[in-house]
Amino acid sequence: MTEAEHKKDLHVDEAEKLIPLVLEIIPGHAAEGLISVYEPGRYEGESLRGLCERILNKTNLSIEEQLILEDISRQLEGGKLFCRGQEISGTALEFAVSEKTEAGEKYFYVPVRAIKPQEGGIFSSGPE
Amino acid sequence: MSATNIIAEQVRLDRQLRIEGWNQNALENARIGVVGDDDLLASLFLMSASALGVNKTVVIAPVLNVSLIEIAERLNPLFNLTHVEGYYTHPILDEIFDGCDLVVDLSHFGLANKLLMQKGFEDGCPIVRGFCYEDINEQGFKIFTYLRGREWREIERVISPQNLPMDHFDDGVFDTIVAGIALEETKNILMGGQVSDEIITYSRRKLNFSQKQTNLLVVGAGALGVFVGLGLAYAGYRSITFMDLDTVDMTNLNRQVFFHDAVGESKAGALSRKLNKLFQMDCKARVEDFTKNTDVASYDAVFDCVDNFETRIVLSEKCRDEDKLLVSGGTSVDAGQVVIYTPTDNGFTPAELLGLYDIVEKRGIEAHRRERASCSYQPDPSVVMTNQITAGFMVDGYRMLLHGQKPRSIFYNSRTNDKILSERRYKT
Repeated sequence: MTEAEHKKDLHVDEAEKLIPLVLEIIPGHAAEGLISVYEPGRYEGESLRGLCERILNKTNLSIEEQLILEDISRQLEGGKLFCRGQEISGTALEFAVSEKTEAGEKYFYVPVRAIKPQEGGIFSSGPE
Repeated sequence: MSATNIIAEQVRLDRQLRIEGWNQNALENARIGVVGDDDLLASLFLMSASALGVNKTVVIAPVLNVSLIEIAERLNPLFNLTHVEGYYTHPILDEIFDGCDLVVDLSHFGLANKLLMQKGFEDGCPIVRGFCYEDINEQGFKIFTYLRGREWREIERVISPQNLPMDHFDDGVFDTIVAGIALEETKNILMGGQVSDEIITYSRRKLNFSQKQTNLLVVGAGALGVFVGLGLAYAGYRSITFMDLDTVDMTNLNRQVFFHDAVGESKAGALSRKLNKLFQMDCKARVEDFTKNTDVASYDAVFDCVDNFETRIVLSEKCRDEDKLLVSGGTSVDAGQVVIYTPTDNGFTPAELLGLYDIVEKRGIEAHRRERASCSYQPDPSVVMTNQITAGFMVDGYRMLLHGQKPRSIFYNSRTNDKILSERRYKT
């Protein structure tokens, strides 16, 4: 995403903060990940890492979600969770961009990716 | 070709022949057409294609870079280049692409782009299109693979607005990346792999024209170090010290493109000599490993091109302790990442951000050392593309910083559609 594309989403005022948060954990560079929606009041005080752990510890997943979770787990063997290329320290709001549904409802979106760092050279960091 | 040469070529390509499902015959037997309109992009593509073991190429371009083509020919004794000097401006020139498995369009004028799309549609010939661009505020590049059936409206975005050849924006650092991604797509077509069905794009704000000279240390003069050195040269930096204890091995030559005449020599020495000759630079060599006692005081920035997490941790800690800017890169066969540490931001070092402490602790430092010392180790597969792509992003990240732009972590993965994740944290 270009800088210009990011910037258009950055107009957040106090009123807008009373909107749901959509958190998505994506395996590697995949297009889709595990999604969880948090209503206002349920996420503001929590760390982003805590929210991610809650998603990763979910049970009762659909078959499709289980497959995504397996992909995430594979990446996390020797990999880490990143948000916008950065450590997921702090709250989810620090990483959120404001988006709208087709019906015009606003929500915060936070994409977190599970990525395995590449070493190069003689020793493998494990299969992709 | 003699039996000795055939064996030598097998050894040279050893590190990519180890890749599961790799089909070297598909590369060796392919005939690839290339259309260019400046000397650099097409030549960089040809050099890397030769390193990968592509043997038959036919090119229409007004001029090619003599040094890069000489490297291509010396790296791969089977490399055969037919160069038609001129511009691709008429369908009658199609004939020279007869028998080509695909055409790589690296030109910057709409007439060639349209003629080739037409050829792709009529003949079913895949077209890999890659180019740099510049508009009022941004500079970047785009790559798209056209296969018959992909007559999408989006194709308009990869047709150059000016119809005939003329002056255009070009950038050696972007060219290195574009050539690498175009070659990745070429390899996938030839081996029956998946090509991207999106326009692969990268852009950032324009750089201003002032070029501050800095004194740089590049740790690691292997595949990543070679392309970081090349990218820094194209970006205009002239004072670079390369640090590496290793010597050049025959199996390095499928990706460490400057070492065709340096087997047995020090990598740091060979790389600095080559860049000094090609670009009239002031490169120096330090034939040693980087340790916590290495003096980095005289350098403005350090480039991490090493091949192991242990040294990457030492580099991170050293640069943090001495307030040095650190540009860290890492690669595998199909992926790579770039993480930049700026002391003024008090952010995470690459080792911290990438979680390298945990990884190293889990696998056990002592076990790792024993494995490294063993002569029975299994080398990781490696190819030229991810190294030139990652190196290009490392150099671009560095020059962005010097021009007052914020660094971005880059995660590249050749197996995915968009390939480049380049995201920055925005506080709400």
